[in-house]
Amino acid sequence: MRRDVLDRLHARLGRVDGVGASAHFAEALLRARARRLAMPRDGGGGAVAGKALLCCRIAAERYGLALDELSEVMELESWTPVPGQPQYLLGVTNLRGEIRPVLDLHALLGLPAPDAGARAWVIFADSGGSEVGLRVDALESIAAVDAGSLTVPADTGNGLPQRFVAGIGSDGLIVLDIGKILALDVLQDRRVDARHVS
Amino acid sequence: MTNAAQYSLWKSLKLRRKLFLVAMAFNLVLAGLIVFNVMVLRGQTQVSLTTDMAARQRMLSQKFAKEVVLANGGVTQDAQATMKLMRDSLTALTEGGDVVINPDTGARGELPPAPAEIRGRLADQAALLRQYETAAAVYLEGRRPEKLKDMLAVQTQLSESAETVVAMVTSAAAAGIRLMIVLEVVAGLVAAAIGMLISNLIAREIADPLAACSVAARKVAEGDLRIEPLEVRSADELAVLQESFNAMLGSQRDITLQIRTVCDSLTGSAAAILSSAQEQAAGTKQQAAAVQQITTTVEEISLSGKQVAERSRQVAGTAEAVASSGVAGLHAVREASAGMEAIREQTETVAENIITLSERTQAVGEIIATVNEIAEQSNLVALNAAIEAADAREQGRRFSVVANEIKNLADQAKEATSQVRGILEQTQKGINTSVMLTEEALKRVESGREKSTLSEQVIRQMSDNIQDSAHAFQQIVGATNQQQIGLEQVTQALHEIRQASQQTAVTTAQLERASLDISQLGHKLARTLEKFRL
Repeated sequence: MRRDVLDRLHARLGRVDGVGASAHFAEALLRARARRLAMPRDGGGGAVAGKALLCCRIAAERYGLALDELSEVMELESWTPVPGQPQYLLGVTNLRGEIRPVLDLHALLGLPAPDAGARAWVIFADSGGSEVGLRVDALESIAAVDAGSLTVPADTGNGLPQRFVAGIGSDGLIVLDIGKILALDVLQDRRVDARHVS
Repeated sequence: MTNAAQYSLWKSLKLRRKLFLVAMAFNLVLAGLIVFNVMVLRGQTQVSLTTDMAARQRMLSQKFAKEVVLANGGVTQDAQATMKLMRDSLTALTEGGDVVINPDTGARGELPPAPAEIRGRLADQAALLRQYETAAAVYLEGRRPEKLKDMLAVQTQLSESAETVVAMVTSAAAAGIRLMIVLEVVAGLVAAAIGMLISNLIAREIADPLAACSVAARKVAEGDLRIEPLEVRSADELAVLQESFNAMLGSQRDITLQIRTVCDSLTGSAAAILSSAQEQAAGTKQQAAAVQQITTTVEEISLSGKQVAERSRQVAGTAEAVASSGVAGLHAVREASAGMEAIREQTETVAENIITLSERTQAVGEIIATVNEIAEQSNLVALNAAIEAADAREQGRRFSVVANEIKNLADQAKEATSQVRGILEQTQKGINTSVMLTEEALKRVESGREKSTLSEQVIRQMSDNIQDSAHAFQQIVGATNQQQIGLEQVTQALHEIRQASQQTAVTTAQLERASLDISQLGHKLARTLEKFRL
């Protein structure tokens, strides 16, 4: 019995050593990094070929936002719900001393609500001096998309979610129309009130 | 003679009396005949006396004549006495009565009175006698010869008259004798006929029942008991015989019935005895076989008992060896217990080391989380930089390249941290496994120590038990020897049982034969009894 336990312990130790062999792992990592560095620089200039989009994830879908209409991204650590407002207005948050409204894209796009304890990020869209936050579940990357390759959904649909979609990419990326999102009534009222306050 | 009343007087008489009566009757008839004869003979005697008397009259008349003549001549003669005798005789002949038969001796006789016809003759004779007397007197008076002649003529007439009376008396006597002969012949014939009838009747009365009895007896002899009982029609000895015969028939029938019943039951019993004897024979054979088997078994038991004794001896020796080995085993177990204790201590050390390793792995994980956070912040910075570069349009193009590069680095750092986290998770899992294994090892060591303690107790107990067993086996050896002696006695007893069983088998065979004989005898008896028809 004692021998058995020892054998199993030895086997377990050997496996841990195998995985934790940092030499092999580090070599593979460095190799990948060198391959990435050896790629031509034009890959980063993809924005020149089309429109630069910030890819993010909301629920299980990937969404794209035009990079030139954004002002900032940050982690949404806390927000304050505002009573008496529609469900898609998540609340307000504090951005370096300024109060900004944050929209809940899950509610706006009719997607299932996220987990209560999940981490969240906010993308601030620039709208004529006023910045509105859009809550997303994760930030992914910057991508360049040709405007011509987007498929525009038919205007016949009367559902709200389709109103905010500018087009759908070939890889399933949904490009949102930030202007239409910001044209929501609550934000208009909000803006007037905000001016009065400021 | 219980049933004498229901028969007639004759039928109810005993045979002996019947015969006696018949004989008496014959005697009476005979006596009558004798009396009759005697009477006839007496009559005949008187007749002959009468005849004599009548004939003497003739002789007396001649004597009288002679005396008269003589008297005439001068010779004194008692002629008057002769005349008186003649007169008296004639009176007796006529009237019956006393008469002098012989004048010289004076003998007298009794005469019967004469019948009417003869009396007439006698009256004539009396007249002649008176003439004769008168003539005689005349003669004597005159003494003349012519008177004598007259007297002699009268005497001749008197003689003839006497002759005639004699002839008449004789013929009357002859007629009486003839009548008597006829009467006797007739009476004898009648008596003979009646006697034949009676004897025939009696003979039939005797012979018929005897013949019926004989026929019935022959039938009984032939075995026919179904015949009707004899009919009793009288109360004499034959009836007794018939009743006895009937009683004999009835009792024989009952006896035969009983014998038949008994014979049936005898046959049944004989068959039962036979089957029992056969079963007993079979049982005896089985018993003999069983005794044989038991003997074999007992011999085997004896053999195995010897083996047991031998084995027990061996085992007793082995048990002592085992007991000494048990002491060695006890030492070994104590050493094993100490070794277990050492293992337990080492395992506890290993467990502590593993716990330390786990804590350190956790610290590494926290560091990795920090690094991941830094990578995310870098990513965020890179994205913001890209946004700023997009704002700056052409001027920000280079900056966007830098921002992109920063983002790539941040992604790589994130990827590396996630890989490290995966490795750490695996390590943590391994550590957890190790902790569990160590705990298990500790438990096993603990249980091993308990088991070795238990083993120690067990071995000690076993050692004690083995010593007990050694004693027990020695006792077994002793007991087996006694058992051996007992088994020899059992074998001897079985041998005797076997002999007795063989004797029983012989006896049973005899019994079987005897019962078979009885059965056959019963059948024979039954066949014999079948002759009797009931």
